Amino acid sequence: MNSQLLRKPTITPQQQANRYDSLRLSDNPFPQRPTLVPASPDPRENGAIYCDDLHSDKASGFRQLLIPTAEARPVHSIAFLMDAASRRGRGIGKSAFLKHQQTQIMADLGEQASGGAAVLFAAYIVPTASPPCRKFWEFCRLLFETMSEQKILSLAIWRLRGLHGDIPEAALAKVGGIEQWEDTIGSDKWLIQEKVNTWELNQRVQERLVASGVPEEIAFELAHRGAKPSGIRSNWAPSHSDSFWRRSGPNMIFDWLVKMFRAAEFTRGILLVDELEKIVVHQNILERRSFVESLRYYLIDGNCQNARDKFFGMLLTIHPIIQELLLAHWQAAGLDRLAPLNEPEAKQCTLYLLALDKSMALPLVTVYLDHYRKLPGDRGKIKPFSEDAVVEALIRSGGVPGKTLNLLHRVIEYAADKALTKIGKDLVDKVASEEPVLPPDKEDLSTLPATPISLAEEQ
Amino acid sequence: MDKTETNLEEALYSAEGWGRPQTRDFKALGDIHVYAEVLQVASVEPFVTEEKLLSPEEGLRNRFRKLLLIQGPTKTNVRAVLSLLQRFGWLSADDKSRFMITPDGKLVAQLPPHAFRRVVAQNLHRTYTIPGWFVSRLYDLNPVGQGEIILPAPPKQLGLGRREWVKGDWATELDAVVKAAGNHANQVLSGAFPVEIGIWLSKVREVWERLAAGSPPIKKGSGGVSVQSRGNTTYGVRERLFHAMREAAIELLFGIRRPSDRGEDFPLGPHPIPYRAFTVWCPRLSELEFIFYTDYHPRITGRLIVPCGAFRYASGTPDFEEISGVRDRTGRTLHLFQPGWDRIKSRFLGVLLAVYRDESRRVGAFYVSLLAVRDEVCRQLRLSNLLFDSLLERAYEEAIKETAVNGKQFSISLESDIRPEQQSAVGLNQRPVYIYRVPHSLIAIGTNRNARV
Repeated sequence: MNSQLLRKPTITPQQQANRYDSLRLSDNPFPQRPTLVPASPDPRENGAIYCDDLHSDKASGFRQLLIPTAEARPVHSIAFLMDAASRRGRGIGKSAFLKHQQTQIMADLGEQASGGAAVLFAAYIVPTASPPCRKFWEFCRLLFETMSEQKILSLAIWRLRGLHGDIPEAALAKVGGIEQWEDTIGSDKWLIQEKVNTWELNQRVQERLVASGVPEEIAFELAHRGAKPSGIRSNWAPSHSDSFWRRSGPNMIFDWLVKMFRAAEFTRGILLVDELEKIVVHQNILERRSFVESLRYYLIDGNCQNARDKFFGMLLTIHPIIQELLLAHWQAAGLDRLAPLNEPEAKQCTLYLLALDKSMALPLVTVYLDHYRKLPGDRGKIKPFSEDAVVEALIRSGGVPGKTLNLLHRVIEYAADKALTKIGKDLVDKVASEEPVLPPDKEDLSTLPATPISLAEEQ
Repeated sequence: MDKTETNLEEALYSAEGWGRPQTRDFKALGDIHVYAEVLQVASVEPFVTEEKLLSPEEGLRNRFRKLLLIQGPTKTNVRAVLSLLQRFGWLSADDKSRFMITPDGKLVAQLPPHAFRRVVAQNLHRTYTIPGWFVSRLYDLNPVGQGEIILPAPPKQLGLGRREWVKGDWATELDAVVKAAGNHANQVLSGAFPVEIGIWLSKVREVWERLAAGSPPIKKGSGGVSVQSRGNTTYGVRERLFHAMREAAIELLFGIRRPSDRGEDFPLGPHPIPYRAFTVWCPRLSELEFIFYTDYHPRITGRLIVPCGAFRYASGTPDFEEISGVRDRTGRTLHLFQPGWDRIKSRFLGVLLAVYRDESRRVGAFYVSLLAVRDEVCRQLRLSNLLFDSLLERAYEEAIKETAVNGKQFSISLESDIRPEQQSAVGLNQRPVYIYRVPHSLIAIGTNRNARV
């Protein structure tokens, strides 16, 4: 008999967990890949582990800039999240911050964030290299696909179904929390079981959408297919057509969908646009200019529902290189008066993520460790690390959280190999030294060294 | 021009110290190897003619210019080379347009390559004045930086698209690009672009508008008829901006007036080295080891030019080689920096290692571009391409023999892969590094843990 055919792996989860026993941890608490992977089941990578203390002031600033409250303080249509710790913008924790804000808003549709004054949604948008996203219509298509995937379009349809008395109270009482809506009010099968005529229900939703100004054809698709998150994307052919998006993309997002959200009594939509460099860097000068002008038209002062209502608030993540690329176009489009990008005026609508210091690093390390503690009594502490060790890791990684977490991952692995119980500064130094020491990010414009050769005659 | 005017002009040139150029025609400026080959043919044949040099069987060979194969010279080139060698006194012509080698030409044809280059340099300076003048001008432009100059260019990754030829007006967003390019040059190398930014911008715009007013390139229309149509031709915005910036920099930096005292180097004359002449002179001066230049330095956007010698009254040290016959306005002679291996090996290896480490960190790889390393080493040590090649060859031999330098050992690994970026039109234009006559493109250097070189 072929033993390879029937051989099974011998490493069991129990054995894997035992590896970190000496450190009193159930697993390595730090991510091996310190980058946000939203779909990952690993809490170390998908943003589930998050240190609120790390950027609490930024979270407060985020709410002030974009979320309406009972005090009716003016909110911005465009704001920025700037990685100010490095010119290239890598590893500071921007994506984790954005994902966390989105999770908090979507948990209760912004009730806590707005103090009950607003009904919000938040979409986390990451441009891709393929399909390309250089033109504004391509960006609009990306917004649509993201809002569809993240169930935001469906949320609006579910609210439209429930808000106007088309569903009996007895059925509405069984709908449950937000996490259950897809399987209850969003499911035709469930509604039929609750004796609801889904065809009539969809018709009513369609009529309300048309009454609010959504074109008939779009209203039909949204009403009849939008309740299922994959419904519109899978079954509505124009959503796959470049010519549709080229012709109608901006209107779709900034006019018709805004009317739909308004009809569903959403107060505001927050668009969290990460990795803007994936759009900007690949654009030529004309595309960049056109993109920026479109942002102004559809977000600020154009003839569309969004501009009239200031419905969408867009948070763009940038770093100094992107700021430099966009500045001239931003000024040419007149956006420097409305949403300044240039320093120091940019401070009025920008959140700055700076490099970590010791007071931020300790809570960050603690929150990761706590998730994998074996003993409840160890929670809230930084052991097996000493404070010096954490500070050393911070220094070695230039204060960038991504690099700090990666270094700590390697330190934990080393300590587990040696069955150590404590991790001090020397150990962190040793692990960090085994790989080439990376200098701090150098400005490309730093001066080159002078020649040591003197060709002229000595006087 | 009558004799009085000619005498006046001669007097003016003499007063300024630079000889009056015998000619400004740069058609004859080609690879030095072409001159050597023509003389070799002439030294074994009773005579040479244009037709013979152009013939596939007996004529000049195909050769590589950088990584591009040049399929033999044109009739115009051959005619110009023969005329130039005649002006040098190495060929004489009869009334049937046949060229015979002279006694001087025979002596020169037998010289080894190094000596041949020097003789060609002396004769080119005597004929054109430009070789020595160019080195002097570099020092005049940046005396503190020992002649280091950058001609700014728009960033390579700047996507500006194409426009219709008729839409040639200046776009205001280009102002920021031009200013940034000028500032970048001075940030990377202090004093390397000694032009006030306002003047720079104004000149670039002036050249841009001149280019925009011109005719589009000729292209074949239907039936093979050449057409020039402003209506349906486009131009690359970045390409035009690059051309405008290059031409503007040349006009500003290499004009008649010296920046130091505003005196005229070439009184009554046109611009000494207009754009087209400049594109021909730079590779020639590099071949003569008068300058090192590169358009591909990893940290510089634009053309970097550094002199590989200086005007001195005396050599002073064995590191300098006097080029007699190439004098400046004050009577000093040009001395090229040509240190021997034993005198420079410690410094060469130190700089090589430091530059390699910087580049390795920058790109995050063990093997890095040898051309990028070469560009910075030559800049720092004022080495010509040829000298760098020979010093690196010596360093490679020492490493193989495990010869220690300053008591420490090092290892050099060289690869001759043609990297993907070298296969592009731009990449083919970079001069490779020749080790044992083979072009190499990648380098890795290892040392002992505590090696100090």
